[in-house]
Amino acid sequence: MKGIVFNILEQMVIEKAGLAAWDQLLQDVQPASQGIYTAGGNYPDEEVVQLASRASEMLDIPLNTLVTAFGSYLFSNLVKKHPVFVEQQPDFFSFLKSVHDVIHVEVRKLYEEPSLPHFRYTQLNTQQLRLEYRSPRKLCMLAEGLIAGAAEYYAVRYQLEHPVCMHKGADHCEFLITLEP
Amino acid sequence: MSANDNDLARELAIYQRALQREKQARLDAEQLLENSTRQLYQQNQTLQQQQAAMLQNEKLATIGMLSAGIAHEINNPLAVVLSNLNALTDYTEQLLTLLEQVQQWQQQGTLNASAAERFTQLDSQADFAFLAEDAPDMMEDMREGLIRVQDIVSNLKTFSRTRPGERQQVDINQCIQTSLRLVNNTIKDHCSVVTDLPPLPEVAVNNSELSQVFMNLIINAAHATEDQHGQIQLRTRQQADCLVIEVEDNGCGIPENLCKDIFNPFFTTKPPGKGTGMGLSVAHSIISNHGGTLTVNSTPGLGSCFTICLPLDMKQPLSVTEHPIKP
Repeated sequence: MKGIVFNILEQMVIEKAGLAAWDQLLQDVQPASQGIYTAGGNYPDEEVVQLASRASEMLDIPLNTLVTAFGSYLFSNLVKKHPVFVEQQPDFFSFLKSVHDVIHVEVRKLYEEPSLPHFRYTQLNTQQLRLEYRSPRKLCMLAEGLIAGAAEYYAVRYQLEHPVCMHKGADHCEFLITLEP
Repeated sequence: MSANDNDLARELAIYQRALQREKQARLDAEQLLENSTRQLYQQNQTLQQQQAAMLQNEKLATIGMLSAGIAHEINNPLAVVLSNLNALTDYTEQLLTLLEQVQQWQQQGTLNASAAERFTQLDSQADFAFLAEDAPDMMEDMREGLIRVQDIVSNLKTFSRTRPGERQQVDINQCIQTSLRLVNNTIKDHCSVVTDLPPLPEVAVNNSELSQVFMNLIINAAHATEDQHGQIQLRTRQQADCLVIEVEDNGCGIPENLCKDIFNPFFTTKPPGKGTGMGLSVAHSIISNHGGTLTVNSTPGLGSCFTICLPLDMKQPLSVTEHPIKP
């Protein structure tokens, strides 16, 4: 996983619980990277899972809730860093649909082997979008958080269903996103 | 130490660890940047080389098109001039025979007085003896000059040919040995030839065109070693999906600033009249038409090595990036 994700996780933990909490987290998890993360570097996926799991215990927040909250936080910070991607897309659905064909293409130009997830989209009608998520990391909760962050940016209310999930034995996850009036 | 001091010390330790992590992260980022910059530089170098090779190929393609037109335009009048020159040579011979006969009559005194006087008058003006001696030489020089022009035109046609000639399965080693036999008389006084030709699979090529390439390269190598009794090495080998043929000499080498021009038509370093400057460009064109590459590696004073890579499967031309035209 790219270092920028770890940088933003560190930023969130420090912002919400202080530097001492982040320091404690690193002391407890003892990651191979020693907690030294550079935005352009690659770090083992397990580290983010270990850090999130331990943070969930420390802060007494369910892991799914924490990961989803992190996804939302991650989105708003990525937007600050690369505003052009949201500026190019006029609405929530068009942004979601641009993730695979626009954003990931740009990420590949910047980073070697970024091992990005694969998305497939089906626009069922003007109010509904089905999104298929495939990734060996199975970070569907993070994807949910990123979707929440995007919805917040575009100021839309929506309902999300997650009827097919890799954590329940499927080979991919499916999100059904329905816009609320 | 008070509890307050303990808290401060703990907090200081936390900040120190954070600082250490930040410092290390900055070093890692600098290393990443350095690696990326180096990679970018290398890619830029490759791109520049490819661009140079592309420009060179485009230049050769343009010259090829021009050459085709020029060759066609020159060929027809050239054929007329050559044919007329042959007829003129015959006419001149007949006139010289007549002149010789008149000279004999003059010497024998069989011409009447006024004819003899007129002949003497004309002879003093034209110097028939010199004319009789010089005219055949001039005719021969003209014929040689025109045949040279014909060779140049023929080379231009070969250079500009875009369609492959007739091809058959050929043992490249045998083709090299045949070429060597053909040029042996020309080169044997200048240098010795060492061959290393291990068995190779046959490849579909135009035998006479390839032979022309090998002869050009061998003769060039011999010329490069003219001043010192040199050595030419002819080597072949199979490398992955192509045949590699190397013609290496220990001659004078090619100055670096000339390397980029040697495959251009009419480029020659030989004295006027010694070379047409078409040999290497024709060779390059023939090899390109076979989907292969011809490159040179040369060190002034030490010698040159011309390397041909011919794809075993002629349907799969070698890409520029795999075997760029050097330099």
